[in-house]
Amino acid sequence: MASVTYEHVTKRFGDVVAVNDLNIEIADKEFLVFVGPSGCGKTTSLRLLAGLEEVTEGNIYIGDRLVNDVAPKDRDIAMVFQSYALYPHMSVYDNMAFGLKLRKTPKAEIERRVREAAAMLGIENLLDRKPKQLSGGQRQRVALGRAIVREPAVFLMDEPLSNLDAKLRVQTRAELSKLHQRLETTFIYVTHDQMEAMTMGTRIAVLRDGILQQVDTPQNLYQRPDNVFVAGFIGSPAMNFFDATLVGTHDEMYIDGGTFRVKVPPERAKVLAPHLGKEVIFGIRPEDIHDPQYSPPGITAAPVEARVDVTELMGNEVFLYLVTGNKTFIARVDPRTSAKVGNDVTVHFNMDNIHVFDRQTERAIR
Amino acid sequence: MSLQTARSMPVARSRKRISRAARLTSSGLAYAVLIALSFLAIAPIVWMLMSSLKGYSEFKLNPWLWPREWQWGNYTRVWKNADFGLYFTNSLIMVTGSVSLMVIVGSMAGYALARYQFKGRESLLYYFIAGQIVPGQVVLVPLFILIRFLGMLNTRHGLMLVYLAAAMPFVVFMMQGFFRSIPKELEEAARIDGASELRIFWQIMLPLVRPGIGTLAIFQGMWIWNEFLFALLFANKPELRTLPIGIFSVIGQYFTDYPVYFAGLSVATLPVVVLYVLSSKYLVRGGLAGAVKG
Repeated sequence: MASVTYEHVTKRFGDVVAVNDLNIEIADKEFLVFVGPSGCGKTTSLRLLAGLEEVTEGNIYIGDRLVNDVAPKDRDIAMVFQSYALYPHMSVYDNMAFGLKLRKTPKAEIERRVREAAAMLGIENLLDRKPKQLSGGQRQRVALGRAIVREPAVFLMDEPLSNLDAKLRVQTRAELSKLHQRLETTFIYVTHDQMEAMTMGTRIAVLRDGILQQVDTPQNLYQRPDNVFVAGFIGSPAMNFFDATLVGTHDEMYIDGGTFRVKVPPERAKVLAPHLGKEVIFGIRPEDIHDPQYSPPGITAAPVEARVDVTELMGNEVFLYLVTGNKTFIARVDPRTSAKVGNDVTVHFNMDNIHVFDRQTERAIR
Repeated sequence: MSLQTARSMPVARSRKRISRAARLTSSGLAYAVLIALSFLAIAPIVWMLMSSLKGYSEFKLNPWLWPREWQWGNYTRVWKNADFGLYFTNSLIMVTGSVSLMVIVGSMAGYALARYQFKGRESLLYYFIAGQIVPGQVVLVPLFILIRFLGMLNTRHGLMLVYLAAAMPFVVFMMQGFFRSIPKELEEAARIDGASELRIFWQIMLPLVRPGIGTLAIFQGMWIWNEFLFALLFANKPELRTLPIGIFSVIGQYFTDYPVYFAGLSVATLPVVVLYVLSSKYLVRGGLAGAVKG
């Protein structure tokens, strides 16, 4: 069990900067998720910690120990790879025992740990099989088992669920969370799937182009994104953005989106006051746009006119693709809505949950 | 819609018939070509076997017909008179020794070229590839002088070294291809598990390229089994003679007992044919394993 610290870590491949001045402190027993689009440096960050890549600048600590020049095997870590990387010519048992054998662990101890991990993962009956005789889900478990038996201080996982089908992915997601609670070890997890990040992480680090955008709890990341990128990346369907201008007075402030104008609640207006008259990016999540008939009580609703372009019934909700001017945005409304394709409708924006970003810096105005 | 379907049906059917006829013709043609080719490949072997069972005069009178009297004695004669047992053993030693050397040196060199970043790696690889372009006969004279200088002329290890050098470009090139096709994550997983470089090579990588090594070993083994020129030049003492040289010694200056000669050839060919038939499935797989990547 150990904490992990990235201190001004930079990694360059030739001229390409894969990770740029990364600073994160990961507490002991935390489940930290690196998330971001492909090429954002999340996997590289993990590989730097594993010792599979060398740090160009900066320091990485596991616990209090500087590990920049420590070999991967001596870092007290275990890693689960995206492709699982099981040794194809060894049985499941040998795959799991390999690391322990190399560490000269007594045979009885190896046997005990492998059996225990196998029982935990429900793969006791597969121990004699070869990897190619296993399904994707089973292979994934073996890869996890191989990490568990090592009893490392830190677990590293590089998109371990991306090769599973959707249903199995959801199931395994929950199991991984349970595993984390049970093992009480630091988990560092890489994914491009924001849903995985949201459901599993105690904290999430959002990366883009090698630069850390925001590290926070899933809830804070969702409710208080620091910039446009984080706001758009976290949440599905993504947040709607409109180019807008703040107009009116300090007491009566409006967001003018060109084809619509919505009133800003007074307490938000106070915060936004210095930006009055300036161009901003106005963001609102699909679930904060309601069919007026089913608007929840107590919200500060602002009506907006739009035409319905497409409707998608999800069962428990309906996605409305709405058009105002030449801008399409998505609303996630009650399934009882009477909106039909081609209709001109009025929807309610919940102004209590709006997001406003500076157009130049794309940073949240708070 | 339904009208359209009805009208287009006969057209579709006739098109189907045409394509079926075309398919039959093309597959018939393919069979004809394949049968002709296999005849070309099998005929000389059948002729060799046939001739090996004839008496000398019968062979001279009707070389193309089936033997009238089966002369199994040719086989006992070739085994006894031409010291075939010795040639056989020599060939076996040469093949096992050379192939083992090739596998050991080739796999290590191939692994280094495939996986390690070092200065001059690319040039070294091109150097090996260039080696494949130079025909062995061109370097025969300098090679002879070199081996004589090293005091290895007419020794087994001298000849093995020559075989090793001749095969190295191809073997190294193939081996690095095999290693390249193995996902890097396996190596990384082993490294995190705590394996040393040597252990990764022996315990993880080498077992995974086993099909490739098998293919290489069979091909190179067959080549050495049949090799004539190097064996004649570098190991031409009676006690070192391999099969091709031994069989050749049956041919006299004024008289050659062809049926006996063919019996010798049949005995020498047999192991290769058996090996090839037994391993053909494996060979295709191994050949492909290297071909897809690298």
